[in-house]
Order: sequence, then C-alpha cells, then structure tokens
Amino acid sequence: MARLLIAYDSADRHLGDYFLSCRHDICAHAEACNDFLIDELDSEHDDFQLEQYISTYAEQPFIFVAYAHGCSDAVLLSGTPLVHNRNTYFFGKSLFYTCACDAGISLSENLRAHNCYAFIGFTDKSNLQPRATDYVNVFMSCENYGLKLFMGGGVSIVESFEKMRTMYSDQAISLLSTNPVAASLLLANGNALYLDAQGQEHLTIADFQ
Amino acid sequence: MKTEIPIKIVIIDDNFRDNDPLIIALEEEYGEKSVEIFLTPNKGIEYILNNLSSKIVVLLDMDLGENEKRGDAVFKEIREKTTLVTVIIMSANLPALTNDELRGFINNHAFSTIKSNDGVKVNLPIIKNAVNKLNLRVDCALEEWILRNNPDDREKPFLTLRSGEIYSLNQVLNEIRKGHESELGMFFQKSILNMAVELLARQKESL
Repeated sequence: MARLLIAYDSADRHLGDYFLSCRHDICAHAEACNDFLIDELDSEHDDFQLEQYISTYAEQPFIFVAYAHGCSDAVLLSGTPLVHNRNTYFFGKSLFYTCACDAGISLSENLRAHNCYAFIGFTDKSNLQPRATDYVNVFMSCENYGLKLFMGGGVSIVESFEKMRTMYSDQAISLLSTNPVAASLLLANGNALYLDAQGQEHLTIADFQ
Repeated sequence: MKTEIPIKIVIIDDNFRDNDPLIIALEEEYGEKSVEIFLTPNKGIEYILNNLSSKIVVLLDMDLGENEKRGDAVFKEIREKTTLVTVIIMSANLPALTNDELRGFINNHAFSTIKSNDGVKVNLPIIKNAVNKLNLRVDCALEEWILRNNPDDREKPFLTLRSGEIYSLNQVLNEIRKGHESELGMFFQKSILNMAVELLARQKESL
C-alpha cells in the first residue's frame, strides 16, 4: 500500500469549494486504485499535525498533495504556512504535488535539497481559476491528471508530467470554440507547470509501495 | 446577436466637405454609415466617448479654427478618456508642428500623421493600415467574442484569482485595454497570444 497525504484548504473563502472538489476527485481515484492509505489535513490543521502524520510513516516513502494557496517559499492552510523552509526535511522520500501558485520557485528547491524525490507544481503566481462550473471541472481534471496517471501505475513521473502538459494543451484547444478566455488561462496554467525530478526520472508508484 | 464590432472613421475638421475625395473613398471602403464628420471638436469627442464599443479611427485636424482648441489639446483630451481609439493627426502644414506637439503625439501613441492636401492615393492606405492594426489588437479580437455572449453573462463573475479577486468578462476586457498599466491585462494578452501560437504549432491556422 502506498501512502497518500492530502492537505486541502476547504475553508478558503474564495477557492475552498474548488480545493474540496480536487480533494474528492483524487480520493475517489485513490479508492478506485485500491492500493492507498490516505491521511488528510483540512483547514483546521497546522504544520505541527502535518509533521506528526509524517513521523508515523517511519521512513516509508509517501505522496503529498496540497490543494491550497501558496507563495514562493510555502504552502499555506488558512493563511498559515503548512509546508515551509523549517519543515521541508520531513519530505525526504516523498513526491510533492501541489496546485499552490508560486511554490515551484524556492520551496521546490528547498524540498529537493532535503531529498524530496520529485516536485510538481506551478512557477507562476497567476494560476487562475474560472468561475463557471463547466470550466472548473476542466481545470480540475487537468490539475489532477498527472497525479492520477502516476498513481495508476506503470508510468514514470516524467511521463506523467509530460502527459499532464499535453492534457492541458488538448483541453485548452477543445475549450477554445466555447470560451477562448478560459482556454487561454488553461494553457497558461499548463505552461506554468513545473517538474523537478532530476535523478529520479524513472520514479514510479512501485517506489512507494 | 451582434457578432462583429463596426468600424467607424471619425473626422474632426472644420474644413471637411461631404464631397471630399477622401470621404468618398472611405465611404466606398467602409460604407456610408461608417464615416462621421464633425466640424467642432467637442461634438467629435462626445461621439467617440459614446461609441467606444466600435472600432474607431479618428482623423484629427491640427487647426480647428480661430476660436477652437488646437488638435494636440483635443488629442490629449481623447487620450485622457480612452486609449482604445486610433488617432491619425492631419495637417496642411506638417513641418509647422512644434517639438512639444510631436512629443505629445508620440508619447500618447498617435498612429500616424497625414498631410491633408495629399491625395487619396497617399492618405487612404495609411487609414486602411490603421483599421487593420485595430483589427489585430487582442482587446478588439476578445471584444468581438465577448459581444457574442449574452449581455447578462458578460457581467457575471467569470474568473477568480488565487488572491480572491473576481472578474467578469467585461472587467477582463477592461484590464486588457489598460495595456502596460495592468499586470493582469498584460498576462491575458500574453496568454491569448500563446494560445494562437499553440494553435499554429498544431497546424490549425484557421483561428
């Protein structure tokens, strides 16, 4: 069984519903895969509880997913740093996957410096979300696509990432005739995606089981 | 439902006549209803501000009569209200423009200058070029698409930034029109252009 630790800021005033939908989507996929132990942190949790969870994993590799806001050096829950430069050492032997904007800038470097296997996130601060429900689903599908592929097995982290980028591009083009603005934003988000897996290009879900 | 923004050629000149060869040529090119002539600047400015949903090219004469503002003051007044219209400066005596006037035109993005007594063959291509440039602007292309949407939908919340700011489609358009003054507007322009490049790269040239 692979360990999956999910943090989601469902209480966020503006994007809480979106973060919660992403959480539901990835949990449903994990349950369908039938090979994951899931732990969760919602908006009520903090960095201490995060560290406690990871401590119980006893060095077993894990996947960490964060549906939350971010800045260049932190992922935030309820506006408070959850993952920051003082606890990145907890993420050695992990795959770090987040939709938080900007986290691909310095947080990823710090995580990798502490032996995090791989990081997938966004380098751009303008990771935007459209409001209309139809488009939100498209954005969510893209955001979770790479992780779902990876969790499904047999696909390396690099292949998952490349297919995720292609998914963004394909979906943007599909959306173009109905909403060119949303399509452009989706493509911009896809272009802001960032993978750091140097030395771990062949990482697969088997490395977490 | 409206799907294309009309082109308007607005001429502000106290000396222009309906049978001027340039007027006839413009009416043939863009249709009679597309050419509006104003002998006084205030009427012209009023028309421009009331028709910002059109693509407007303004032909603005420098010398508008003894008791009227000069063209550079009118140009400044237009620019204070909108950057959307394209302005061509007209004068019978271009060399007489002062350095201050020229600096003002360049800094506020006048499209071109034309000599009013040059023929249609010289001036019409400059005006057509201005119209074409207007058609290629990202804000105009986006506006054409936005106008295809139901007016109520254009005002509905469309986009949420991670910071929590919410924008309607009309507000997205306004941000784009602010040009360099809006970081978000610049981001949109870049994203839309990247989308076009992505399409071209996929051999789908028919945008």
